[in-house]
Amino acid sequence: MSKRTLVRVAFIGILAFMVSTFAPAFTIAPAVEVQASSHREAPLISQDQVADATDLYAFVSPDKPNTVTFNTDWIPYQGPGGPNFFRFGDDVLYELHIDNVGDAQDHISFQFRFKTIVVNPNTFLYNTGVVGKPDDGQNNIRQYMTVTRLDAPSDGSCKNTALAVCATAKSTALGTNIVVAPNNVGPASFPIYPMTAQMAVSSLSNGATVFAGPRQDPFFADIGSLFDLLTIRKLPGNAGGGVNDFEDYNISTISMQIPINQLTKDGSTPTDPKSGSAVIGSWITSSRRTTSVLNAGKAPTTSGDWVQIERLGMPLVNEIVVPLALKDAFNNLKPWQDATIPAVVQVVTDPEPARLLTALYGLKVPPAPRTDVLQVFAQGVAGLNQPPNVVPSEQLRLNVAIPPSASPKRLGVLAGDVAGFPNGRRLGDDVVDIELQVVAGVLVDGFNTSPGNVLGDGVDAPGGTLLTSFPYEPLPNSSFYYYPSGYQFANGTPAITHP
Amino acid sequence: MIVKTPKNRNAVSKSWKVALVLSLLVILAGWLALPMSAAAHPLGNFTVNRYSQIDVGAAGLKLYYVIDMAEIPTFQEKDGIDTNHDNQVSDTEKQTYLSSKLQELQANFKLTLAGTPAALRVAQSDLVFLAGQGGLQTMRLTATFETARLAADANNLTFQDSNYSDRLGWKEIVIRNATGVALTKSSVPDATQSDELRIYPQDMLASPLNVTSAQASFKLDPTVVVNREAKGGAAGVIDRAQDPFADLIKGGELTLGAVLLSLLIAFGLGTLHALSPGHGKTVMGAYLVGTRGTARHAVFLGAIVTITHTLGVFTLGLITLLASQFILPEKLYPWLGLISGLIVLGMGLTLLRSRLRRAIVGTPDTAHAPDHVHTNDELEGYYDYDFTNEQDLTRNDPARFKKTTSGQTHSHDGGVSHTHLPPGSDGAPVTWKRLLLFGISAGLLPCPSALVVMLSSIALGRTAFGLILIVFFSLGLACTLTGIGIALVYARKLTSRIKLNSSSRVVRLLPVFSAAIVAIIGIAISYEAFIQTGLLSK
Amino acid sequence: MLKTLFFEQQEKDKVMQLLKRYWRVAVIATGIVLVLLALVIVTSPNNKPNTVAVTNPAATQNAAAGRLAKGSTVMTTDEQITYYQDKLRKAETAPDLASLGLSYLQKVREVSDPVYYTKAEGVLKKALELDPTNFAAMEAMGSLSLSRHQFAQGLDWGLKAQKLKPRDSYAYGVMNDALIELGRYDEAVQVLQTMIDIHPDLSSYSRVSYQRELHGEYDGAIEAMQQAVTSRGPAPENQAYVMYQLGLLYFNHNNLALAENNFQQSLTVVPDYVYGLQGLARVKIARGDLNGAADLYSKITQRMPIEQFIIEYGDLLNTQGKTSEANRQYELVRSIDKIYKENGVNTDIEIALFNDDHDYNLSDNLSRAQTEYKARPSIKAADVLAWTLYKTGDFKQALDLETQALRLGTQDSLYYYHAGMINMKLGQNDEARSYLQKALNLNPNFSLLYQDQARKTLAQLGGTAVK
Repeated sequence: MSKRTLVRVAFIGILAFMVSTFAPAFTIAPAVEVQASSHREAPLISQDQVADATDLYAFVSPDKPNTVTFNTDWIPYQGPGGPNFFRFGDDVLYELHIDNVGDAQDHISFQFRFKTIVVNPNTFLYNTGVVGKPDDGQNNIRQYMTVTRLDAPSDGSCKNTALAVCATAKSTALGTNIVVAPNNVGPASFPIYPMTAQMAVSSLSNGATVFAGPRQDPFFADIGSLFDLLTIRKLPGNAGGGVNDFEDYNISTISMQIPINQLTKDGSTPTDPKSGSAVIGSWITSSRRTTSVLNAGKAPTTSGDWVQIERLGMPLVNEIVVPLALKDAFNNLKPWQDATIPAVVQVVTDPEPARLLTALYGLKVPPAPRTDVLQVFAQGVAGLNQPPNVVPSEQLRLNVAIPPSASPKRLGVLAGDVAGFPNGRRLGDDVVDIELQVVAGVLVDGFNTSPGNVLGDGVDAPGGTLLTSFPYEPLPNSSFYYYPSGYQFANGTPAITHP
Repeated sequence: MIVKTPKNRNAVSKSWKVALVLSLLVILAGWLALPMSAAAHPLGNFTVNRYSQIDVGAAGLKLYYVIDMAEIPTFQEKDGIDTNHDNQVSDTEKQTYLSSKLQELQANFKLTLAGTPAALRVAQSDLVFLAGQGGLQTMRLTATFETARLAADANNLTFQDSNYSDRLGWKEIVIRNATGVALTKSSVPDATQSDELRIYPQDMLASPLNVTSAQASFKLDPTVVVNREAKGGAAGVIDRAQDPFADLIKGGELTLGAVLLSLLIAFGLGTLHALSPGHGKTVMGAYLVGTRGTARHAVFLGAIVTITHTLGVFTLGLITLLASQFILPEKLYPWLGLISGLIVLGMGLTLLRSRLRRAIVGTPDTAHAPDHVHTNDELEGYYDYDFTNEQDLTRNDPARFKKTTSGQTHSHDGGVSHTHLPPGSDGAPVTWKRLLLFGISAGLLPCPSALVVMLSSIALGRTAFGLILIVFFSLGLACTLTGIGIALVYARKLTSRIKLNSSSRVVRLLPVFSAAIVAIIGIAISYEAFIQTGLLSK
Repeated sequence: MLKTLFFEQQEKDKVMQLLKRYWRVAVIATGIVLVLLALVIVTSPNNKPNTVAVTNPAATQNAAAGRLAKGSTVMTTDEQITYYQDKLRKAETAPDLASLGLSYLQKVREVSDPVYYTKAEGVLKKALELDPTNFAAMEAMGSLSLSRHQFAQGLDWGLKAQKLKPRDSYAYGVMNDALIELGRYDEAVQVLQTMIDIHPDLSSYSRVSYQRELHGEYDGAIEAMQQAVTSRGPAPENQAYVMYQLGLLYFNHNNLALAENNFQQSLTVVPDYVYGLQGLARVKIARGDLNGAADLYSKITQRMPIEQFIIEYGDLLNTQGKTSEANRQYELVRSIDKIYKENGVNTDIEIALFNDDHDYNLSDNLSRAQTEYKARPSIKAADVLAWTLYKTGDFKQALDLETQALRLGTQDSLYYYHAGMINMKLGQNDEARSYLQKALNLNPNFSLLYQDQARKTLAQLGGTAVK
């Protein structure tokens, strides 16, 4: 081969190499997205609105002091508009748990189950005509509730087990087919809504009274600013000026008024606050059933075990106190597990908001470990609502022997009103301000000083008017009053408005 | 095996170093070439993007409307345009489509003036197809609508665009005042965020704009004079997220300080601009490394780039001004890019060929004459320069220069001592002519922002200022290019000080690789340009 | 001319001398200018803020914040996006970045705008830069990888997140999806069992339904999907998605009335939900209303021109005898395929199947299907490879692979049809008859392209479908 030919061959070779190696590289554009054809992509959300608990209230009923009222509130942020009104989940187990011993065990569980009836499945209308009573035929989509009471057996076989999944728990049916109050569609459909709703208040076989249905959210807080790194609009916050983020929304409540002697461990109605049976702890949970993925050709199982997916006791614990990484874990946790998880204990004894208060406002707070915070959130305050030999766990604890106050103070115990939060929780208790101040250390000697004892979010009362009798929570917002005429929802459907 | 490599440890380790440098160069070249390739539509391949710009003036309201369609909707839309399905959009087809399309668009505008619906009439419209991905095209429809003269009591307007309401895409509305009107309130900005659907901000903390209706209040004010005439066409070529240079000319009052500052900034921007891809520094760097150039060569090359660039902007500006009725600047660019690319490619191939020959044959002398001849053959298809008169200016010798300009071949063996290389370890010689060509090719593609400055300055009656700015901008450009060139030359000198074995294969192949890089860049530029001109589809 | 311009000796000399003298100055000056400029640029504040950020005034920031803070489930995706964007402009934190990334991913589910993939990746990477242990960002990265069909990567992200936070159902969901696409069904079932034991909800129920469907447990699949439907999700799209899937389950077993009902339901939750519309179009086809279906498909392919819909539209036009219009759709599919390739997106086995079905580029297709099957030996990949082998005449190997495709006991008319045709070519008429009968009995409307062919072949083989 001559050198000339060699040169040519080499030249062509290199050229070919260059083109084949580099040309494709030039066609790769810098990361531009294209919509890939979809494989099977199911959603991956873990929020479960229907099973979402918002608040638990427990107080000695002011108009019936031999009873305790529990308002358990669910399904937050319901914009009061159709066409898909909010309902309880038919496959969700809602529970109110009572620990009347103080050992962090599930001693009583009130279970609430729902069933939805669509009277006329051929229409998507919520109601097909004017509705007076909740179970009028025109109320097209209705829900009925079943209430069951579970008691832990005396042999201790349900220890460290949720009663819902404990085979030996004693079960008593308290009521079935209890109608749920309808949504407040507007005066044309529900001309006497307040009465219609009140008709849903029902008596149970054990002398308790129950109500389920929509209400205006009684919770109040300027939570938007609070979550923006605990920003307080008008420092220190005792001068108003906050924005209540909740009054425009409804929640769905399951409320129950129960004679005290149905709740205490010895069946008494204690009158001495120091009585060993006077303090009852409570928390609420929601659960869904798991299922076995495959059934090897057998008929599918509809009844897997209940899995607790939501838990709530003291207000704002899950929102503010528990850090993000623990949130889901906390929702799965049972009270008897609280003290065994160091991370959870530390959350209480060294709360992050306290550190934030120092960082943001230069506030001097008591040093960790915070036994004061531990008492309020996990043990009950000694001499007030701490049961004897308490096993720490996060519960809302109420001393039922303390009579209701004639003139309730929004700052409850901090204002000398021992019938209020953190001794149980009334609808008017300003839990945000109280918790802020507690975290700032007002319960610790030497720290009950300004500005720590005047901290607040500037919102001091619920948005709606509280009722004077059961279920106490304000009537729900109506879509009629809420939306201007011609308003359309984001999905394009017009809001229901009436001329 | 043709070349015998000495089994010298030292040489081997050195050759690794050189290889490393080379591979870095290749990566660099590849990286610089990448951003030039055709990208899919920045907002995804099935968006239909809409832009409405309302100029409200005493003479009436003008609505400038743009639709930028990504590849897939364009394909679907073309069904209705290319009615005879010959895959060509003829002028007739275009006109037919436009006249019906504009009616359709108009029907979905809701424009009111002082509460009453205002009638619009079409003043101007155009339809352009641009090369997109997957062998598909994207479509850009522009139209101007006008209303009658404003009534004396007109003081507010509302506008709603419900075209393509269910399609994804950027939806933007801009309201500006024009002569005779002052805006008092507007629900939308008075400047585009997307340069009229040419740049889509990629901020990951912002969603694509989604504005489909707007309101504004205004008052008639005869003292207001607004002159924005020249903007539209010229801005068409920018494709960068931000364009500080073009902003310079838009400023308000011209104080001495402002002028000086502007000049300084223009210079600075030029220096920076040279660092953006496509400015020939890779070409130059590769070339100089390969050719053993000197600092003077670097300076010369920088100067040429500057001059070409300045002239290029001036020329293109003038052409654009004259021809904007007929040619879209968008269309001109690919062609300039193509010429640029082919020149670079041609140079690269020539160099590659001659260096390869040297690397293989080993003695430049014998191969020299035929080399020139073949080079000429080789390049005929690309461009028309005569390479037989090529000069080796590494020897700065007037006499030799004269002699060789007469077309004789010449020998290379004499002046090697002028380079800083050991005798015989030779790449191609640096020739002034090659430098010139490179300089021209590097500078020929003027940067769009310079062009915008020039055109805006003409439009604003500040032509001289604009021209001076461009000169400074180009100077800055040259400084960087020259600086890089010199840096490369000196870096090379440093490495050459290490005693290189002249017959080392790597040393011989180094010029070949650098020539290859030049050619690759040429391929990249040309390929890109081919795609953009539509001569080639992927 | 150029020569006379630049190559005059004197000129050159002059220039050279000047440059010789001053080049050092030039270099230094350039250096100084560059440094100064760099300083100015680095130190000057970004004076191009988003001054005209046009936000929706109706959604009050505060209420949005509050809802979100209480773990809201009702805030719309757009509200979430705006909320986190605004918050992050003030201060960048890993949790907020991760949350914004998740919101972006949900946004893609809703509007199919891939721009949000890029944005999601940007914020998620940032989140992981700020906090390399942010499991939420990892999980979202896993989802993103799956969306981009990078299944092995998705699995890695899922595993990483799961290690950090073993009781979080999301990570198990990512792992389950990846394992299914990779053909590792047994592991997927295990992972999914953990997921639903931790958190029974719409996400886990719908996955259980799919697993049961894959394993041929039809009734169980229906039941689990019904549970998913009643569980409801925070975004209407989530609800619509499971309603659509439930409708599909009914459709694939020839229960047109219930299928239609569920598709309609999905449209009441998300008006103009394209998948719901597509479901209705398929019901229309099954009922013989081809024109009505074509109208719907025209609308669907305008709104969301993804391959699947365009192919279905093309097949429909073909059936209607509108060959050139159909070919135009097919041409679009191939162009989209090219766009995918150019952007480095793994062009799917769906495209291979499409090419098989239209006898397009078969030899190339074979290597494509083989590569896919090797990379992820899922039953779907096996089916596509089997069909490609059938088309290229290798019936024996095709049968092996179709057997692989049917290994889980999946009840799928198209798989049955493929198995039937392959068996027929191998002269195994009994098997062929049985498979074709199964295909038609399960769903006589399983494929516009093949249902008639199936009937014809079955008749030739002397069998009839039980009606």
